[in-house]
Amino acid sequence: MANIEDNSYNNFYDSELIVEFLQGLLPGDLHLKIQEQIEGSEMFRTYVEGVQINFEKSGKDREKMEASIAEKKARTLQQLKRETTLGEKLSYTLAQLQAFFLPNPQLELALQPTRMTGASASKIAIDNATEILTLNLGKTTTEVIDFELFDNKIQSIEKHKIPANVKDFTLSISSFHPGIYYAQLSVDDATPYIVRFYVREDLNPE
Amino acid sequence: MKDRHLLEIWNRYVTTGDEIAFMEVYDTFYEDTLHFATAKCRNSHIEVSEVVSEVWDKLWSKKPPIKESIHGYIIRTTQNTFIDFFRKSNKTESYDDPKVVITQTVATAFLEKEEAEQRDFEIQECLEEKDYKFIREMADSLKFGYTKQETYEHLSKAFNIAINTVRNNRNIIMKKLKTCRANRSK
Repeated sequence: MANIEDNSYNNFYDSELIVEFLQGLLPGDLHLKIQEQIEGSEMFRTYVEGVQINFEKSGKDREKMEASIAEKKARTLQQLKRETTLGEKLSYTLAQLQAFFLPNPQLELALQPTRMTGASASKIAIDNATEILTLNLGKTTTEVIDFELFDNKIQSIEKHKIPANVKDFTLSISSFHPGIYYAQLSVDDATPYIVRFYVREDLNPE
Repeated sequence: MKDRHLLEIWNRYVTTGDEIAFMEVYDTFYEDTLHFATAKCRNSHIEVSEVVSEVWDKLWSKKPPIKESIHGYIIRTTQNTFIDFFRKSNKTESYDDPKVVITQTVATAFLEKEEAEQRDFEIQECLEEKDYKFIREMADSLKFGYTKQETYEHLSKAFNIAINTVRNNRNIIMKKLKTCRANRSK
């Protein structure tokens, strides 16, 4: 057992026990042990005072106090995760992010005819958590499809041949920086079908 | 024992960024940082939630390697974070850590040795024998430095009941005791 000035884990009894101590529900020897620790350790005394304040704030209802702590705990965690996203955002300059998300006029124009004619039911879904791109072709085809990805400077990023009779095709986008991308699907000499998609759209400064 | 295990977990987070490891430490110590910061902030305009958020943000983003007691490190971080907030909010005053005075509520919970013995007698009178044995065993385990979880595991084996039943028993017995003591003081 650690001595009383040591701040090891064992030295802070959990709040449930402290509440029972404050209510006088503990056997005498354990009560005296906690009391001795309160008198001997500044850190522990501060902690006990905190438990007492929070217990009183909850109307001396331990379950209410626990619920309130759980809520604060969830909120703090949410905030931490939000700040991490912000941190990632800050790892690129604003100018870089603006450049990454700038639509390419030439490819944007190429989107128009296919969109109007409804030439394909193909859709691209991005899962930013798993960093996976899923191409859903809507229906299976009997032909091999050429699938090529471009950034907004029309630089080819990846090229794949999707076999016939496949409905879904997935690939990792973990090496892709945030931004706007275009996917081109083509079969032989037919007019290519172009789809726009975003990686980490939440980082789009617009 | 528990601290050593958590220290290993923490250092796994530091080296690999494993979020599950971070969560285990967060789950274990969040409440301690909250209560500690609550007492520190009580006579100031500093928001407890801001101090606590800052503490966990430092741990989350800076991933400090910890060599000794992880609990001690986290509590010291909470203390230092509070001091930083205090200095920022009171630029004209230097921080002089005031000794935490035992408040009236806590002070009234204090007992003399004879009163503690009397307390034992009252508890014994209020509870059935099996309940008293349960509380006695729990007190011994906690008194000798076992954590709540270790104590529950011990009681589970000693009374041949599930850990959840241990938890429920404790709540039921404490409620009985509270009612009994309240009735006696009327």
